[in-house]
Amino acid sequence: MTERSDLELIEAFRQGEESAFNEIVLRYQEKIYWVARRFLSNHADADDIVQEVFIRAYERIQEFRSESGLYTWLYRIAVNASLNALRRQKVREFFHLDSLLEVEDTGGESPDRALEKDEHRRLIDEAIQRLPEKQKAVFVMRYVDDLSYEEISEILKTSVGGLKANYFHALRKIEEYVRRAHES
Amino acid sequence: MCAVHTNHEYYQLQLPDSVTGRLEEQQRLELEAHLASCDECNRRRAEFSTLVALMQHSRPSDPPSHYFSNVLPRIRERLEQRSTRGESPLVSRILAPLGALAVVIGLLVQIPMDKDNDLRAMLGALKSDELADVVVEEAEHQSLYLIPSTESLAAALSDQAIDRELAAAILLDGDDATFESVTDLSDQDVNLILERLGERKIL
Repeated sequence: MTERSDLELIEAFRQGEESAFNEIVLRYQEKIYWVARRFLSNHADADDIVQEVFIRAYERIQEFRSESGLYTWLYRIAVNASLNALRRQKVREFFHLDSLLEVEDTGGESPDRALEKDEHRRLIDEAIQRLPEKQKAVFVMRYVDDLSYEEISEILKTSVGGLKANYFHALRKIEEYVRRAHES
Repeated sequence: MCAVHTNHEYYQLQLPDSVTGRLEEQQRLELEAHLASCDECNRRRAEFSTLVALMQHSRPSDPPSHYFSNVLPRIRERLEQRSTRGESPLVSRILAPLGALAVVIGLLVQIPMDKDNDLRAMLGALKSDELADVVVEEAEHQSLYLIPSTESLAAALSDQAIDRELAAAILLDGDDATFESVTDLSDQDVNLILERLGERKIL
């Protein structure tokens, strides 16, 4: 049987075929997970975003316009949800509740293996998390997700020139953070 | 014919795409010509190249095994819960806003005075429904419940059903509020609420 296109799935779902929504989730869950994971750096938060994205998509499928692709639409929801989650994290940090809420995230690795977590990965993660929100978003979309500047511009409503500057400064800050950590 | 850029900043901004191989041929040639006479860009490109090589070998760890086979059932479960959740007028229209307000005041009272402005800036950046989410999340860790259960508060808030008059009376001390639900609060509303809460904290 031929796999249905995104538009066919959306149309079927709009007509009441619930299983079409299941197909959409199965088709895009992994991509959306990794978008969120790059923003939030831990599995539990990324999982929350995945749930949120598909629940929103389910409830707002009528808002989807076929001019943009389904993945682009889901991606935009994921980026916005991730940025909102980052803001909430900042508030939590302000209340000094991180230590109470912190749960060791082993990402599925054994505890021993988690303890041996790669030092470079940790430093890079830390550096990315310290970036200002906009620079982080541009870095994730350009470096990790390989989007064109035009696509990012559409999502973040920023000029291409501004995006290039954000990308440059993001890379510069990550590089400086990692280098200084190694030097010290 | 393409214009040749002479601006150093222009070429600097090409460096990230250069080290990830995403420049078009013409851009790449122009950058190479600039690099022939620019030590700063050469140094920066070497730094970026090292970083990119490092990042390519430092991918995040995979999620737990079987994770992706459990995503859909959990989404379905949550959708089911949302569609069958009964709305209790008592909780959603009266106790929820009272509880949320109590938690916000409780949290603010614990904050040192000199952090007031930072808090205001941060909370002001949140949408009002996000603020409500944070309040609910924090309530679970602060033991500041004034309502029957945090679950019912969370459920009520997620329904975003706040009585406008009650909210106006409680949050704005009787001012003529025009919002129907927490999601309709503007930044101005949030700032006003924070100001009022700040006054209560001082008292």
